[in-house]
Amino acid sequence: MIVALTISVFKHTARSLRSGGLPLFFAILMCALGMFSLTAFSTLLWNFRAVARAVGESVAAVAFLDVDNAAGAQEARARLQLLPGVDQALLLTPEEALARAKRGLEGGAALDVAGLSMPWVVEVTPRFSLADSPGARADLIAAIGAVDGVDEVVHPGGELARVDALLRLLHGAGLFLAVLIGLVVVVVVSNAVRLTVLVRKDEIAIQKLVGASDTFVAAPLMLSGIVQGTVGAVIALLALGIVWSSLAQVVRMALSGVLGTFTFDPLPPSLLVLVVIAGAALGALGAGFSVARYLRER
Amino acid sequence: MIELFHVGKVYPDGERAALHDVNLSIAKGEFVVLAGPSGAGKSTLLRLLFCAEQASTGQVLLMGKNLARLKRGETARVRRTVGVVFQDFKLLPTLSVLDNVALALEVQGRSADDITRRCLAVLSEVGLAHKTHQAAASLSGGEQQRVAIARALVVEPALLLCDEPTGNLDAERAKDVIDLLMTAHVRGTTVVVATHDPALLSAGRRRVVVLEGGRVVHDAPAFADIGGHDARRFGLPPSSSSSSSSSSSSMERGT
Repeated sequence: MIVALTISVFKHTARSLRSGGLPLFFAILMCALGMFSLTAFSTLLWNFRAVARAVGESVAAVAFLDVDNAAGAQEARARLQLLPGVDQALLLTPEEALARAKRGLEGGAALDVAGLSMPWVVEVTPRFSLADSPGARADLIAAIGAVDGVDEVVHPGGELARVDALLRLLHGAGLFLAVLIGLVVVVVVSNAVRLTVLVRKDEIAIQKLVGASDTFVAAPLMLSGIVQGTVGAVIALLALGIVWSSLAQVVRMALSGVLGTFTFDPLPPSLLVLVVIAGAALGALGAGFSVARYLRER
Repeated sequence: MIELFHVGKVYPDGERAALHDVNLSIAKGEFVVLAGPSGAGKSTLLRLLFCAEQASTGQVLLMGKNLARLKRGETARVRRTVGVVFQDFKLLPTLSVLDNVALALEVQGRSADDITRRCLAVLSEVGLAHKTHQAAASLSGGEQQRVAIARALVVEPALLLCDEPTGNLDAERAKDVIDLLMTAHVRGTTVVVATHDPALLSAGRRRVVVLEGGRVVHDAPAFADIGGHDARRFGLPPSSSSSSSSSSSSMERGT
């Protein structure tokens, strides 16, 4: 019985979609446009986060030691290594530190480093990404600074804070965009389903007359909404794929000039599936509003 | 099968009651004709019986169930045991004859094979086996009404309600429809027909309930009991035995 009912529901869903006409086409188009915008933005955000993460992972905190011999430096390194959150504490001799400083200044202004001397230095690599965990980052920097023998801690906190702020802004914009697009999709699908209900009102009335349950009437309309959202999302992904294949290389080259080595990757498959699920969910939500209103008004 | 106790119905926009203190009992297997002038309340009474309306006062019991107390899902289940036929057929014009009839079984979750078998059988009974794949809109009025009857009968209903089933048909097509209703009755289906059609009123063994102004004014097993004057007043064909009208007075109800 369940199987037979399911087959009937799918049959009526197909009929519902066939009777959707222009509103159905418009709803799918709006879904596709909305999901395309959202997915394109998500792709940019995803890649920007990857850049930010790479920045956070590549830069360690640097502790300048206030010791004058190797034994003292080793002790300080050992104390730093024992700090929670520290993955690796690498001791650099003054000579090694000076050599790194010189390499870091290469290509810069003609700075005179001839008379420069460096103290013993420990490069601290945390267990977490500095970019991802601003709270833990601040705690670790404070803990490093409090270790005996550490004179000063230099860390990329300022740069990472700016990256954090930009990421927060992008996340906020993404969230706003998602909510806006979600609302548009829900309203458009809801109206398309409502128009379908109007077009099929005689059929629905006859279904009720011969004993159709509310579920039997509502299920094809809900499925029609889900199909609209899903098809819209799939079209959006296909369109994004086409845009990707023609523009990704250009974007990669353009941003590499600004951000250094920049890999511009597509969203992972799990997120692409999520986009389709989100489309279906929005379609279901839109259809749900119309169906609920129809059942309430009846 | 059907019990109406002091049933009244007032529509929200209507000042006059569509039904007023109607008491009626219809037993299983009866063939009941609801007669009376337009606006007498015949269609309203039928609408109460297939749960399209609720009584404003009183109780309507159908197969022992109080229709006012049905939950949403129960209403659908009750309707599956009731076949309904309308004057305007209420078919889906773009669907085929088979699909129109199948609709009644699809909502019950019957298998595709069962649906096809039953639909073909009932369409054969109503003489439309050769038109199963034709669109309903392409059929004549009489054929469309036979499709509507097939849709009502395919679920093997315990109760068949018909609202002016011959209203849009010529005499010959009307006779076909009446024959189908009589056949359903002979098989044990309780049939309640609201009609002005003299042919239906005088057909076979039936009980005639006359409504006027929302009240039952006559309830008798034979139309002949009404009397010539009253028959004309109710829009019915003249009686051939008006002398028997006095014997019907004991069965009259309402005012």
